[in-house]
Amino acid sequence: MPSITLDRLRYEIRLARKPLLLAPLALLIIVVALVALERALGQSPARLLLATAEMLLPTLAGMLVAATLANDDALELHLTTLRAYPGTGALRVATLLAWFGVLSCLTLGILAASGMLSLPDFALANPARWVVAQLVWLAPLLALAALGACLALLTKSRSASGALLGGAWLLDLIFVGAIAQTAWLRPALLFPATLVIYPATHVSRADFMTYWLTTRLDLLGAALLLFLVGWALLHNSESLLKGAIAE
Amino acid sequence: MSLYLAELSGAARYEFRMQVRRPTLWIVFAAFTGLLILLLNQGQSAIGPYYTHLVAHTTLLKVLADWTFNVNTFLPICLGPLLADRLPRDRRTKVDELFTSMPAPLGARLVGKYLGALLATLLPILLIYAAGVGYIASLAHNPLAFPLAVITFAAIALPGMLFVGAFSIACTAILWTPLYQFLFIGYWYWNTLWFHADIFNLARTLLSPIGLIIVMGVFGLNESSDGQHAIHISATLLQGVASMVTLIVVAALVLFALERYLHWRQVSQ
Repeated sequence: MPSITLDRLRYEIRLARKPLLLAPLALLIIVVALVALERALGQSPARLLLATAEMLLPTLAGMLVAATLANDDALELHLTTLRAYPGTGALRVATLLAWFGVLSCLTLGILAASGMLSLPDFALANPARWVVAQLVWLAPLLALAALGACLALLTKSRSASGALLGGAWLLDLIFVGAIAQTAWLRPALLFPATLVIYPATHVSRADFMTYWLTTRLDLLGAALLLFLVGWALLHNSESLLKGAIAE
Repeated sequence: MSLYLAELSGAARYEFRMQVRRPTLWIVFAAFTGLLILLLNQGQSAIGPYYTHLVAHTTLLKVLADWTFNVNTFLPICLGPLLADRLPRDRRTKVDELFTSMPAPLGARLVGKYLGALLATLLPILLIYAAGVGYIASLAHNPLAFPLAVITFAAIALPGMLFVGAFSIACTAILWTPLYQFLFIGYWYWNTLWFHADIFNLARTLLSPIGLIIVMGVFGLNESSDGQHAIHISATLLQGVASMVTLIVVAALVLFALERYLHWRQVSQ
């Protein structure tokens, strides 16, 4: 039984070459080019690398989750097999999340190893600081992936879910000031480490808690809720066939 | 090309009907506009008081140019991703080879697809735009706002929309659609950062799809002198017109390059 599961995982990974390899590679080329440009201009690439871990990789993962769940060429065939589609969908999302988690963690590790990761003064003495720092990418990654999954299953369209997720991402960036200042909108603050409290070195404990830690926990809670909704929507697999025709 | 006008208009009509009947087109614009209005009304720069102040202190044409600029800054975010799946759809539904066997040439079909799908995707944008124009007309007590709004839309928004539409149709011939969507929203965010002087930005050049050079050069808007942004950008009338022409010419060149690429791919099969 475990070997069957492993074979299946290997098959899914082979099937997902585009989202797992091509998409991160395209992003890597852009980030490397921008880092080189910043180096040439004598600027530090610290914020760009932080944005890569906090903003770019999670958003790309969210869009790929949406694209993966919205369309499957062999869906009709899959619905006739013994293995239910929700399990396959969940396995695909988990594979994507694990891979993008590794990439985000690596990016944050590069930042920390090169001394470019700014942490608040009061957090430096805390032995758990590296674990807490992982929330930089973990919270937006899970939230955007869960949102992407729900949008894909609700709209049943790759282009619509991509447009909505991209639109929400962009509005979150453009109106970051208004979102941070409005208490009831603050849980929707997706990228505070790059956009609100950067550089975090001298940020006060109160600001750190309000804009960063609390919003990270809010996002994790929202992600959990959205994943549960997505899981429920995934059980209505037959409705995805309608999307394939309507597109 | 004149010999194939019937094929072109047939393809355009079909693509228009197909795109305009997609429920997701309307859902995306409704959800996005709802979210946009919600966020625009937070903080000190709420949209209502902003336009009330603008109507009281500047000419109607400038107010409309400002509204068109805002529409052109935000709404193409949905236009690009929604057009991105039109070309790959032909491959996915396996009709591209069937089209090859038909007498209609590739160029006419491509231009028809581009115009039809773009026009359909522009419909929700035009409705949102018209609602805003109606609001401004009611504030100014001036029905002249409607004919003037046609001019501002055609001059400021249309070149950028043609530009975005051409790239969104063409790029997916070589790029995977979700990857293009991701790159597009990243590019659009970069465009909105035009007022950061330390970031190189195409939005401050003639290739500005948000229409910055056009609103400044042709309609005399000066975002910097309003005190909103520290950066000082100015444009002349000639630069404004040059920006319009550049965007339209680039869009045409992109479509031409796409036609050549697809033709080459067809031949080398």
